[in-house]
Amino acid sequence: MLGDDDAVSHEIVLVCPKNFSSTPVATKIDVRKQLIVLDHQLSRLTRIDTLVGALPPGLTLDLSPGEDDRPTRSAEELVAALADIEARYAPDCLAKCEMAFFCRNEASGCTASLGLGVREELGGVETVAHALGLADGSLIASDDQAEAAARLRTTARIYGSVQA
Amino acid sequence: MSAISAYARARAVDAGRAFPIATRRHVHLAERPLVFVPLAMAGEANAPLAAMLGTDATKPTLLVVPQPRNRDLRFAFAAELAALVLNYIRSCTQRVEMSGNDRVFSDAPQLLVPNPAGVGFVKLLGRSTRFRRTTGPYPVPAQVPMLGRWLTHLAERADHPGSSALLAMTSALGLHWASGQSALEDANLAALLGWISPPDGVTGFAAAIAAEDPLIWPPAGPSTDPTFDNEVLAPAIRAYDKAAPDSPQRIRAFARLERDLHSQFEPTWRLMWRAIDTLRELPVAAGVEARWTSDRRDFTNYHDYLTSDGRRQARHDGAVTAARRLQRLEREQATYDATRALDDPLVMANYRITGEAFEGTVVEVDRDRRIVSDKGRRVTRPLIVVRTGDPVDLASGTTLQAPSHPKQTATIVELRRETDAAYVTLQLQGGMGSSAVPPPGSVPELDEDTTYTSAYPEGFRTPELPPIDQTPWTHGGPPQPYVPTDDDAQEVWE
Repeated sequence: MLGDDDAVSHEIVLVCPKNFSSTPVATKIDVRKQLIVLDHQLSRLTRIDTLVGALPPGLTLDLSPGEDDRPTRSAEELVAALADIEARYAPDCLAKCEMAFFCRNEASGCTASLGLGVREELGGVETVAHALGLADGSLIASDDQAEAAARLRTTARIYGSVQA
Repeated sequence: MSAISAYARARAVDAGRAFPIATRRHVHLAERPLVFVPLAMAGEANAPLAAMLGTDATKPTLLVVPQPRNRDLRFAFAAELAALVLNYIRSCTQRVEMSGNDRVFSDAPQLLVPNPAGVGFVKLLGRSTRFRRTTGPYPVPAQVPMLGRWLTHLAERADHPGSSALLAMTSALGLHWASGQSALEDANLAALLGWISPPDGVTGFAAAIAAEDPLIWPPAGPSTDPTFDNEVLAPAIRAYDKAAPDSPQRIRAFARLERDLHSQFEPTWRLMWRAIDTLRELPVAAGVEARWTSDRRDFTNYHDYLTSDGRRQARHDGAVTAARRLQRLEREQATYDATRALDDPLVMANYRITGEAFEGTVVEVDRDRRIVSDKGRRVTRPLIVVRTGDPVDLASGTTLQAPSHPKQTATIVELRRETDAAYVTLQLQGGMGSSAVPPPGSVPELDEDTTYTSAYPEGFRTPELPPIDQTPWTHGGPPQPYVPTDDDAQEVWE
């Protein structure tokens, strides 16, 4: 609705407390710029039907409540259904999403669960075990990982020599 | 995120305990730090709810605002807090020593808060108290605006890299250990300490998960646990509000609030002191002393300023102040990073991985080499060749320094790479006295292990800023001196 000139004005009123008082202060703000950005972002997002279409057929998260409104499906069934959905967990999720703890548990052992910066530093490798394997040379790096693996081996050698 | 700390985090996940990313302690810990754990009420900007503070682990003081929405009670809390904090600051001004030509206090206040949000709380509390008036409508006790000045000063000082005047405990620990969780989760003091020193027979991972239960480990503030807010705090505040002033019900309600809040503080209080003990176990790095002296000098200057002039800090920095401050912060950051690396081989390792520094063995020494300088004089310039396995990424002509020879600089003359090692030829200058033959120990010996780095404290040059009366138009021209007006205090009470 917002931004549709005929429905709602693009001038909005922002109300905030002034300094540390409880006095509300209102000011008018032109949000056309923010609306353009938002429009652009929304148009780039994958539509929800595309996302749903990619899910395995037959997947359901229905609780199928019984007559007393209590779910009749068992928790294990639901967890199994959730596990079918691929999640991209990042630590930021903790602040935003109620499913974050579930996904964090699922992602334990993944480099992404340590933060995107750590993942980059570890050469973009998927799991911690893989990264450590490349670092100590017990795993052979594929061609596209050769550079990252060399750096990991250097890091491991220097860390080991200093820490010992 | 540096390569070393990323790798250490991966190792921590694998081993179930935190891994060190420093071998020395890079923060100063005062003999008597003031541990300060604040709590704020949800829903209002910086409404203090309670605070636990003290310089002794066994004798904390608990301050409570029974109704945080009430401004009178809020500033009564600020006055009580001010009495304690100002008393602590005064206790740091007892002894004076000379540092160079300046008189500097031997102590300086050190405030320790649990997490970075605590630093933000200190900053806002300073902001909300330093403009209050002691006369006119809604007067506050004289120590309240004074507290505001000191808290603002400390919070500003905390922005300076390497300053230990106001430390967030999780950041201080995170400087020395890498846990097996993300940086975001490290902001939880209980979880981070769980990784660093888990209870016997428990992995760091399990200890960190347990630390996320707000019933056992309440949040370390300033925000409280929402369930505690709804089920304990709200009814207790309501009970206090409903009782008539000075009635037995009100006294009972206050006692109940105190008890409930004490239970929220108690675990965090113990954690803070455990964290201090954990940090004290590390040997202190060489550069800490100099950085603490700069903290003490800053404290002395501000103390003198308050006794002579004593104007409160302005609401906003002017353009000139901001530019100077930014330049100072940049210089301090560069010096801090470089000093830390010189002090600590594990921090230096970061530079070795990126190729900005290297460690190796001296394989050739020409110690008596003399050349003719640009000015036509014969000068001693020894040449050494260092063999290293590190990925050196430095150009010829770069100036380097070795932690073992802080007065000497080395210039890369030649860099020769072979399959498994690099040979760096260095020309040394300085730190060898004035005689033609360098004295023993001033030039690295054959077969000696040595480290050279391109990031060293004197290696940074910052441009000169114009004098204040010649400020260019880009920064608004020469600034008008700040005159405090009554406008600053025109902040509504209710």
